[in-house]
Amino acid sequence: MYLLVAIAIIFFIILLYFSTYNSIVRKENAVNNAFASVDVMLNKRLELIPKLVSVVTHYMDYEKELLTNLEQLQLEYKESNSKGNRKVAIDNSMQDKLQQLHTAVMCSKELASNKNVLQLQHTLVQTEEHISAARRFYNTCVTEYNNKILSFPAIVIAKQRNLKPKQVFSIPKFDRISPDIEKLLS
Amino acid sequence: MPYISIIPDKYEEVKHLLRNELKEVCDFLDKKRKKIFTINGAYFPIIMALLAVPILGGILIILGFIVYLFFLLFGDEGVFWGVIFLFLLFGLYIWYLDSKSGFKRYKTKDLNYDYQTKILARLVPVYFESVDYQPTKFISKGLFLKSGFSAQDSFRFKGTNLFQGKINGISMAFSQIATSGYSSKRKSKGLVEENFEGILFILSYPIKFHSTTLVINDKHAQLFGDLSQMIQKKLYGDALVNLEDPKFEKLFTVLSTDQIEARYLLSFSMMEYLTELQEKSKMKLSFSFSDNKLFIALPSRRNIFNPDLRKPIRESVIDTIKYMEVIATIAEDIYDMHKHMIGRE
Repeated sequence: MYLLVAIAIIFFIILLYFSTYNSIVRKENAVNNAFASVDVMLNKRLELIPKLVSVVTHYMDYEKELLTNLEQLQLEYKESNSKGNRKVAIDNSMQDKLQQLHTAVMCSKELASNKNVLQLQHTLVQTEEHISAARRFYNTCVTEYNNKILSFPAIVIAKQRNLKPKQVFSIPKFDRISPDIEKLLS
Repeated sequence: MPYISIIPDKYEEVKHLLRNELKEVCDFLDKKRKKIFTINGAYFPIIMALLAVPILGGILIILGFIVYLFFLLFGDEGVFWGVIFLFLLFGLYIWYLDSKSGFKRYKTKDLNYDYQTKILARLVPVYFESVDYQPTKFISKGLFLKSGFSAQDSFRFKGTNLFQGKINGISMAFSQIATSGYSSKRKSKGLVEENFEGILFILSYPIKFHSTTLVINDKHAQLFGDLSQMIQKKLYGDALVNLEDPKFEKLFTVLSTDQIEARYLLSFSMMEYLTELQEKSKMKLSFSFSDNKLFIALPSRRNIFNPDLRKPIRESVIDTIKYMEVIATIAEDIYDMHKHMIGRE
């Protein structure tokens, strides 16, 4: 009788181990797939940055440092082989710089009326919206993954496999214009 | 009823029309409505029941004699069966009178036609610049199926009052529709296949997308919170989209064939907008982004493009334009939200 109970417990533990292990693998794969989607879109944006920088350089001597930083970050991103945290960190910094550039462009009368700049800005906005959606999906996957590996019993396997929580993207308030519904409905 | 305020300038225009150009039509239709309502409407069975008293009085004398015969033949029990027989006869008479209300239905159809062609057709241009209105046509079942609101196609589908045209250069159409006769009320691919009656509004979406994303008004999510989320996860699997806005998540269940595109369409401001629209309109709205179109289901308890027999015609007009108002508002807002992207797709 005791033997049967012992076998049952061992069987249960083995089952739990494998199901938790597989669950972690599924979540890890989901994170990797989500990151691949973000990466594709970020690369699209990387192609736009040099074009934008080359157009605005003549008008923005006072923002040379910002433009240099942007180019450096772009190169750093391209050269990075990381599939997660490092690229996320670079992208977070790049977002700040792009936001600064966007503000600077809008403040310059010459640039704000330049057709090429406006076209590039529009394309960038559109790409940003796709990136934002991909980032949000990645963040959802990462949150699920982090929750999983930090909770019991998955934490045991995570420690054994040396898995660490992943960094999430910061989501900028770079969103579509929200209409003032108050004016229309009450 | 929804409590959506009417855009002031448009409301003034509608009020002006009702008081001047449409005054005579409204008065004429009101007379027609009253006639249908009082003679053939709600009081119809009462009036006929009252008329039945003298008629039945005469019959009673004859039948009294029959009852008396029952008594002579079967004793006390005969009287009991005689009375039951009389009640049955009275019931049959009422049923016969009610069947005559086909006349009422004919008259109501006539009133609806006048309401649609003489009043609605005149009010449509106030809200929509170039819209074609066809009272007897409706959005096709094929187009409804493209919305993804229904996973099965074997159900009855009917409708009326088709409006189609453009707002801000964007194509749109809406009509009253009713679905019924689903083989089972089951949840399949995330859809609640229940009978729907209301307005289906279709708007060509200003930006292109390839997936289908459903935003379903979920009463279960509102009731059971976290528990319903767990059930939904089991039920819908990978199609379920968990979004970041808790208020939005409490009102709607989102299902999509593409997790990233669902987030692209449901940006933070869009989620905020849909939540606010749902709360302010007090309608159980459901949305579907599919086939590069936005489908919106606005439920209503009755055909909103027909006059309500219990209300004056002017009040029915106000009810109807409240719905038109919501549709026009959504169309304008969606355009405003995406106009910075239009033309660059």
